[in-house]
Amino acid sequence: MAVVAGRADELLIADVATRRRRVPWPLVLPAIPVTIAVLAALAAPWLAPHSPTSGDLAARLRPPAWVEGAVPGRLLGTDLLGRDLLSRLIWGARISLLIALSATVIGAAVGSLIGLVTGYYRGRVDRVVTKLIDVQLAFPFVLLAIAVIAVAGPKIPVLVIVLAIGSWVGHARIVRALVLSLRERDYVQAAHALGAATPRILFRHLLPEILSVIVVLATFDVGRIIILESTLSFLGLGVQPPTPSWGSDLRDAAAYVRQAWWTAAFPGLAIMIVVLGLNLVGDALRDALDPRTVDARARG
Amino acid sequence: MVTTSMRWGLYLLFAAALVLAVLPADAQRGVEITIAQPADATTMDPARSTQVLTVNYFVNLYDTLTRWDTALKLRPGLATAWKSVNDTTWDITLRPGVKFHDGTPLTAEDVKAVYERARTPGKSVVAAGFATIEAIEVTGPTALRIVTKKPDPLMPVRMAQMGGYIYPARFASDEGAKELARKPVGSGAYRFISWTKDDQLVMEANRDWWGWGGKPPAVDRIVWKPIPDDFARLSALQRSEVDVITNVLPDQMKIIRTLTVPATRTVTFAINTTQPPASDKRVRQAMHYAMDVHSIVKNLYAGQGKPFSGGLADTDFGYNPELKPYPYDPERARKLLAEAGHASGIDVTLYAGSGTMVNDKQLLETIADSWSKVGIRARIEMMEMAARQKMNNERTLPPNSLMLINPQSTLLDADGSLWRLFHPSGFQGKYWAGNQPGQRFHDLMEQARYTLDEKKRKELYTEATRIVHDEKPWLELFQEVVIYGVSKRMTFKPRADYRLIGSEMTVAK
Repeated sequence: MAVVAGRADELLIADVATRRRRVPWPLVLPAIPVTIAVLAALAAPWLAPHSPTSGDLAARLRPPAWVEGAVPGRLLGTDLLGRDLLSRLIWGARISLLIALSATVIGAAVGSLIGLVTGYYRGRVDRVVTKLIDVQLAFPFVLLAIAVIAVAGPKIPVLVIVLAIGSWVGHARIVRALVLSLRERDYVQAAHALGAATPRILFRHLLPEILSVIVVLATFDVGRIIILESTLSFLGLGVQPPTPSWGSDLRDAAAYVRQAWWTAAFPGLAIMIVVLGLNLVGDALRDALDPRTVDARARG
Repeated sequence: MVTTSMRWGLYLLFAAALVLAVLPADAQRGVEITIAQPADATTMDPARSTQVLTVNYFVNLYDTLTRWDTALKLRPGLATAWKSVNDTTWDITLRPGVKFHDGTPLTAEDVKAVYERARTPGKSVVAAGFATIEAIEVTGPTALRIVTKKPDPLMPVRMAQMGGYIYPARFASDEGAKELARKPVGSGAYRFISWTKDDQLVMEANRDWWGWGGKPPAVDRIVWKPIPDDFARLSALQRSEVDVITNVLPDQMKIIRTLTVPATRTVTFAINTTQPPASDKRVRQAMHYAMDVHSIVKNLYAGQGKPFSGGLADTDFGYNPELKPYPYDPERARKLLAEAGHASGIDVTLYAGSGTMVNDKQLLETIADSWSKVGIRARIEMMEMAARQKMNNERTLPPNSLMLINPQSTLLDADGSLWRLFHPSGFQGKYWAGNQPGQRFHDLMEQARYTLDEKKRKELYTEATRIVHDEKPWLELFQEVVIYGVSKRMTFKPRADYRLIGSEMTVAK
């Protein structure tokens, strides 16, 4: 039975090797907008044509360049305060992605680790942690966020931690449930019988099995967290103005949809494309990482 | 033949019965209007809230002894006459024959009970406004005497203020107040019908009200519907589901029919001036020169607002029209900062509760943006409303920080706004170090409070407002404009004090 697990591992490595040779389409296409967003985030100071925080009130709510009434040099138009929308989108990518990605990574890592451990050990630790998760799920997230941010202040690291707190339970629950069933599998029992140390079982045998689930869950989380961050911004708990972020810009623009569709449309599109891209990347990654699909491909 | 005529007779009878059945019902139903505010009332007990949205319910259900008309002139209400017998004694005559909605007569005993409860701290949230009262004596069924601790020139005005809404004496007990909070009984133009929290509150015209002046009420039923979302409220008006909406974004004025009037409320920022650099008046003046209030009003608030200086809205007694708002002059701001020894700039924090007023966040961002051009580096902190309330109540604004406030004097007098805020126990008073001009200001305001002679009081306020204009102990922006969105059939004169009063409205057929 240990052979089975070993084979999966080898195939995984083999697959990574083949992927280098022929790049799969389903991964590349959605990766383009995500890459663009990441590049925009990294190179914002050089890419943005104008200041994201300084605007001309007299030229507020002006439409994009191809619509009548546009201000020259403002490609996507101006926002509520006359700031260049394109520059805000580019700088917003930095904040939105930074917050969403780090919160997701922290949430997924902590949640999965706790899920792995509790699912594998069960017993008292499991009961306590499960109760804790239930308590947190029963507690309204926004209320929790208000409490934490009221004490720690609305800073970006605090925001990341709060959002991670909001996302770890999902990972912990699902990973724990998966591990509960996986730990009874023959190959895990065999590894245990052969004297494999617990960390080895957890990270070499169980983690690869569930990694695909974690990745998919995490890609969904990124989108959810971008939206959640905008909710917090609306309550005055999120990214503090004038720092641009897609979520808070979208929220501010909501009341102006009728007069100035572009103020809401572009941040909304940015969120949509990046979230969709990440989800598709997640799908492709899952296919690439899942031992079962690797098996199927090897057989086929 | 007989049968045919009998049948005709029956038809006639039926028709008559139908007409009879329909007519009175129709006449009784009359015109119904719906008003949408962003939040529901929190209570129906007038001693328990001064929140502007909730007070709009009180002002229709209850009467006060005196009242402000639409032109903000003080008029008789339940009191038909009041005169000062000496410096500290007022004799008040009540309107005879007034009945509460439950049919019981309104007497001086009821007024006494309401005022006694209102001025007891802990029993009410309006105690400060009644604090000058020493004693209330009932001198007859419709006569009472109020004795004040010191000469109080504002007593007739205080009778119109929040908390002065008269209900039957039996509701003044703790038990009674609980009942009143749910099922209000007043003597006002509208009586309470039903209330489903966060859904709707219905009131119906009180045809026995003394104030109709012989005419039938134009609005027979008012339905109040809270709609929190700005956009949803606007849509409800456009779909003709409601007749009046409050808190309209100035940008939306182009899309809907609106009624506007300059408000009694001003837009200002409290400044904690207890430490340098904000303790230097040149720094505070520089803050004013470095922001373009005209552009803010014109662009961000669609021209709805009037820049002001000297601390008072032009509706308040004591307003000084000679004080002109500082112009936008970034050069001068830079110079003032340099003179104060801050040529390299200063750091401040701007606080605001999310939802204090329309476009609050945008307002802060605009100020921070224009300040950054003269070297005032402003960090922005938008707070959740409960946190803002806490900061306000506990006076915890940090040094060199500013917080958005929009104060309003319900007395329409400098005493109710400037002195309420800048009193050493007021929100802004604590942050204005008791330096020389500050002390002089305090003395003037305290003196004016107990001065009966109107001319003398006006002079005192003229000097006090000049100190505010020069010292700038707070950041002064503009006087707000009340904006209502209304359906085509509605007409009424919007009130500067934000009150929505059903008896002042008319509806086109």
